[in-house]
Amino acid sequence: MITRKVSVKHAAANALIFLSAGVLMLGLGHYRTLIPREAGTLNYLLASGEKTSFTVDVQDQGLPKRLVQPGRISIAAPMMSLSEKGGSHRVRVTARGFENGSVNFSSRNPSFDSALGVFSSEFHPGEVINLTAGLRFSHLTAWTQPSISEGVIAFTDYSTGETLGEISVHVVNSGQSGSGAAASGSAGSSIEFGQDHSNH
Amino acid sequence: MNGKAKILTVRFLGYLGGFLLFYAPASLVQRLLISVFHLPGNADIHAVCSRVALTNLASGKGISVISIVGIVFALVFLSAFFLGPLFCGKLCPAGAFPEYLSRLIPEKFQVKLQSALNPAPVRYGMLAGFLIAPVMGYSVVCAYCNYTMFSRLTLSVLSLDVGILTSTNVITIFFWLIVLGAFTKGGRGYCSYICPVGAAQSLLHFLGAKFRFTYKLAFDPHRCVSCGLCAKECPTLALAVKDDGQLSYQRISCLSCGQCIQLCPKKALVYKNGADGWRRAAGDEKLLQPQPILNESASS
Repeated sequence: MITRKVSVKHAAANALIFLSAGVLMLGLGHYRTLIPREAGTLNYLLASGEKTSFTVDVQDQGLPKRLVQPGRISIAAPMMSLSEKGGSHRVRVTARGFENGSVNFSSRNPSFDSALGVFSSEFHPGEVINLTAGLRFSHLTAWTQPSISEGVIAFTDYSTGETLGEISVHVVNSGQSGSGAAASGSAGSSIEFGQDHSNH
Repeated sequence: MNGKAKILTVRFLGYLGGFLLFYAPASLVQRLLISVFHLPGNADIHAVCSRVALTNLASGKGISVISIVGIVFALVFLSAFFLGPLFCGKLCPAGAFPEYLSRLIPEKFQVKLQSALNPAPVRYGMLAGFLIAPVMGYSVVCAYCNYTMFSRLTLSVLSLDVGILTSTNVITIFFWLIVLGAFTKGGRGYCSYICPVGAAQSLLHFLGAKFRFTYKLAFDPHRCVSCGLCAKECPTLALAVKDDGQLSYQRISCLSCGQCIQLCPKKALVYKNGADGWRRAAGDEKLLQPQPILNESASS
């Protein structure tokens, strides 16, 4: 009888631990959905010639990220080429501005040369290309400046120099007064924040 | 080089092999399957990730057997059933890294976590949560992934830059390498409690070990002198010496790393098929206690 009581108690404890662990994992999944702006996703229509703006707020980062890498921001930009412009392009991506920090580009597309910022393969109408812009600022700048940095990410045709589009990026810290960060996350009509794809 | 150092070195070579097989920049398995069988995919760890395969299976998407991830998934999980979780124990560098890291930390600063908290309900609760999460709209497949983080850490050695981390990356590193790694006895806390791939493999091994034709850790109590060396060095604390001096074994927590077999001075532990020499203790279904191996030589 005692053995059975111990056994039931043991099984109940294990069941409770099992449920708690399951809830913990779901909680971790939920936590991830709370910080979608930590790595903003910009769906950009390339070759439209469109100039649009994009505001990133470091306060949208989760606490662990803010503690470890507050000054490193990732913007994932799956770009879609518009068909009405016609033609194919070898796309070059460049950054200007961003005086307080630096920008580097990466892509899962194997034709992308991150040193030159050039896709060696042609970008056809309707095709979607993945690009991630990594913005880096000092921790101090990210913590103390209301307006951390701004600059432009420009897309040009590598062969002809034709401008295909520009994204004006503004990095702010709404935790600092006067940041004007009410516009945080706001952007042009073709922009929306999405899930973090940067580590997939 | 003493015996223990030699065993750790041999095991390290296995994990190095696993790194070369599955991780960039070498990614030999992916490159082989891409170049020889013309399968689509990238030469990185994501292309062979069994976490993705598990999620797709659970969400009903399924996986194609004629794909890089399908082939690797089938090999890993079939071998787990017939031979034990060999991928975890012999090849997975992401699991081994915190184990080797933990050997740099004095034992007095480490917690015997698996002794204090039974891993089985935790890891299978975590596995259940992992599989249910996509149904509830949560994506945890790449978040909290030690494979991804190990890949990024190793590539960062080449570029001297770990890249831009997310909050989930930071949480993963903190628990995988520090709390459940360096400061947990054996360094395999992440494997024991969180890794869904390891949990699924261990479950298959647990079921497979019930059949005589499968390979498993077997024990000959007549040879055992209760020195406790196997239990002391077991990275997941699956082996333990109880208060009465008996050796206990939790197969569900075992990695099949084989370290205990190599360390045992009396060859009381062997890896073989047939009867395993363990028996269930009354009142504790999970605890396996030794019994004499019937009509079989432990050294066969």
